[in-house]
Amino acid sequence: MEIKTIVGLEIHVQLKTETKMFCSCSAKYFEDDANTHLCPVCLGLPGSLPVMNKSAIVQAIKAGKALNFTINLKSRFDRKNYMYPDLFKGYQITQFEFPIDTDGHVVLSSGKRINIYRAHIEEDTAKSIHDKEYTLLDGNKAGVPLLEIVSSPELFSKEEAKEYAKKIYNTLRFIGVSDCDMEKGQMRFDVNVNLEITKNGNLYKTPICEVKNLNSFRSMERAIEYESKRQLDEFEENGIVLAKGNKTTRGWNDNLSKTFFQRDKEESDDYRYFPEPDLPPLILSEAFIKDAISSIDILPTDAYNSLINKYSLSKDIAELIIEERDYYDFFMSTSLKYKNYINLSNWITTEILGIIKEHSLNISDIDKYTLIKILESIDKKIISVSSGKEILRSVILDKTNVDILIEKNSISSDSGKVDSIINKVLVSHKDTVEKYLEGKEGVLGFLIGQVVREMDGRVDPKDVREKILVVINKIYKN
Amino acid sequence: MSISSLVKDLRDKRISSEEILDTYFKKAYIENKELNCFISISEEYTRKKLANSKIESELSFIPGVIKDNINVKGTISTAGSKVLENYRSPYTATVVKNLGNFALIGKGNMDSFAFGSSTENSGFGVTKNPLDKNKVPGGSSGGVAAAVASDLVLFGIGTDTGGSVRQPAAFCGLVGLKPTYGLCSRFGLIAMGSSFDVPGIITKNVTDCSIVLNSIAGFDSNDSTSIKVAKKDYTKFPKLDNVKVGVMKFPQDGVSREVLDSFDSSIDTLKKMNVELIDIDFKYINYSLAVYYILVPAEISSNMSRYDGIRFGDHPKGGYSSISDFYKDARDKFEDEVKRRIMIGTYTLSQGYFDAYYNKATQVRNLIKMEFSDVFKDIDFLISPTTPTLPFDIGKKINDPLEMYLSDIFTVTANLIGYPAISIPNKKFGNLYSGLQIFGRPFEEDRLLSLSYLIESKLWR
Repeated sequence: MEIKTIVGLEIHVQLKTETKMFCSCSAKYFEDDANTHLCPVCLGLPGSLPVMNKSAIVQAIKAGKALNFTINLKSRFDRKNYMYPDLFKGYQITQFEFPIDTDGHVVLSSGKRINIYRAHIEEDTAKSIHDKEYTLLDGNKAGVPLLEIVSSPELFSKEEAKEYAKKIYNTLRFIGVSDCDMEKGQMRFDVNVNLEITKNGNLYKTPICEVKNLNSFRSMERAIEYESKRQLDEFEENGIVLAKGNKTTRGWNDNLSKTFFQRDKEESDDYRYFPEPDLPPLILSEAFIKDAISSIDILPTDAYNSLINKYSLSKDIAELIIEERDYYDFFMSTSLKYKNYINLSNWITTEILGIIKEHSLNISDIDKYTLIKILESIDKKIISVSSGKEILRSVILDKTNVDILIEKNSISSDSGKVDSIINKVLVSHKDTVEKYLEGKEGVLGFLIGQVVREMDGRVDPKDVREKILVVINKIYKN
Repeated sequence: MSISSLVKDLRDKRISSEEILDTYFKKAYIENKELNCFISISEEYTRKKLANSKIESELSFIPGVIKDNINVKGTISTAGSKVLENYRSPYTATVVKNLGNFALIGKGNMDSFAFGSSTENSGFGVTKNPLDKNKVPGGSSGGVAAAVASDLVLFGIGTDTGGSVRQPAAFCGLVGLKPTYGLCSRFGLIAMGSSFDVPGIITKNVTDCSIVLNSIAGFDSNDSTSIKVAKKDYTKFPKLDNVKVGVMKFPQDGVSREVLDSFDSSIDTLKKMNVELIDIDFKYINYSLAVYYILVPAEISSNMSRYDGIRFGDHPKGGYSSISDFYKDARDKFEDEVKRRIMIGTYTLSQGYFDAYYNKATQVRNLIKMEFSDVFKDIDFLISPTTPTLPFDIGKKINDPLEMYLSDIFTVTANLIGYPAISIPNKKFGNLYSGLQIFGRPFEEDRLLSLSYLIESKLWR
């Protein structure tokens, strides 16, 4: 028996705009008091009318470009009618028949191309806060622009699904279309899963199941994993295969790591879509699209290629640097002043990212001069690599002055002092020297350490090593 | 009394603004008991608004009525329905803002949510026709028309989705203008059929109508279907040369003798005015009413879904004991005609029926539009009766929705295609009039008013 998991992903992302999709309320509501970002339009009060947000359309065009979509000159908004307390108008304005972006794709690291059917603009709903006795509504989110990105069912494992989702995540963040902050609900997944089972030479397809509203990569992966297993069990038990109308919708319980039945097709909504009469069709000019695209200064794929080709970075390092737009910007601006790109990128990806991730800092808050100054000081042998790392940490975390620290830690130019300390250390650790002479080369590190300590670190361990060897060879070997 | 004469009296200080308010509010309270043309009388709002106000425009201190489905902040806007009983809008419709410091006397009674042609579907009782109190005033802007006809105000703003301004104007012997779709903002109009709705004007004569249009017309960035066109002074009637007027051929079943008779007399009048008359036999116009009653309920079913009982309408103290109680209470607030149209629209938009109804009707709507634009290459105006009959008795058609829908047969087409159309009083039968409807080219309200003015002065002055 051979089992193949088939996954299609619908990704909702909140577009990064100042205002909501169809009114001028601020779209930046995070942590604000409930129901403070509302007006007659997003509350759906009688007589109010929607007006399209131009910058949301620009963002949808940018996403279209970055994800290799055809950007349609003509698209249209429709009404999706359903009743739910968080939907104030009783319908959602969305693009059903003619979406703005169609036929996109991304390429996974394996080289596999994942086609994306469409991406369309719609409005977010309000937030329901359920209690035992009542449900509260917060309308701050109502009307925030969303882009729904619908992949074709070509993802054949949870790993592929995750890589695809991560790719969308990184791309949209890189070009500033969305922050995709999942903790703030700015990116959500609906996964469609079924199995292709080959048994005794026959191919069976299990009924498709949609798991809605997953809000982390992890829950998405776990939902796919759980569904694959559940569907296999179900198939072995009852042998029911995919047929028209037997798609089901399931929810995800994160605490139990389980999906649960919500509804089947017979109970599913008929959304009664029809063209939104309050909005004219969205007709874009070539010039408007060109302008929108030109507001993307660089696409993540172009940035990646230039890091490899122009800056000679390794693929792994380049991958790390384009993970966030801020990392890339940091590399690009420091590389203007510091030309050993490989060294620079290593310092950024190990030291800087290490510190900012450990302490939840933003790379954009880090002073570029600090890093450049430290790297230059190391190259000029003013400070050692290890004190360079300590200085970096101290400047970032304790806001100390980099110039003063470098001055304090500068390698002593008084080579007589180093020599005398080496002699002192070798004399007082005669046993260790003996061990070295017996062939235990590992003890050399201890001796170097003692010298560096005596010098308060203001010495390059590499130099110390060479000097110790000279002395040992000269004096003790005889 | 007309707008221009009251403006003159006011400017010449023969009457003060206080006297206007005192007189008109006093009349309103008295007459409204009999006519029921206002759902609310706006004295408190208006006196507060106009305190310290000065003459700024032709409409300053001029008494007017606003249909109750048009939001005015500081008043109650019920749209004629119990669903919005006591609903206070936090904002004012653009057309009302554009009217400036006029004197709002009251909010006009109407068929609930503008669904109806007689004002009998109001959640707040029927309005009587001031010309004959046993008759309906027409609808859905029946309250507005009755208030203008009985001199309680000098102008009224209604809404016209399928004739709701022109038909009551005709029934009350008044001028009713439905402007081109997109000329006047819909922002703040409680929606019925969004691609059909327009604000409209009811006045006693064409000149007053043009004064009001001057103030309400104009682009509004809050309405995405509003269209930018060059500002015109509609009170300056342009000279009309070599005018060609199309005469609509229509099936005569269901059209009353009086209406046919008066339509003939208006044709005679036009002939005497030396305009060229051309008979027009439309191919698709017979489908207008059917198309209208598919597309409008579809839009209605969606527009009404916000009145789900959660945010609008009172909840009993202590809440509901079950969700079904909640549903029942919320649904029971809807008037019968509202329920009927929600059901029709929900059905025609449903999966499996959408193509047969909504899509087909949209295609026919486009055919009618194309046919009109073809026909209007050869004519400047088109005439037809406004209504198939004179005002009917209160109660006569209320239990026969199809018969009621037929009263819109001549008016719905202008809304399907977005063209401007006006109804002006035609021949008089006892106290009642029949109306003449004139269509103009889109955004040529100036020429339409000009022709109407000429006919008005010839017909019954």
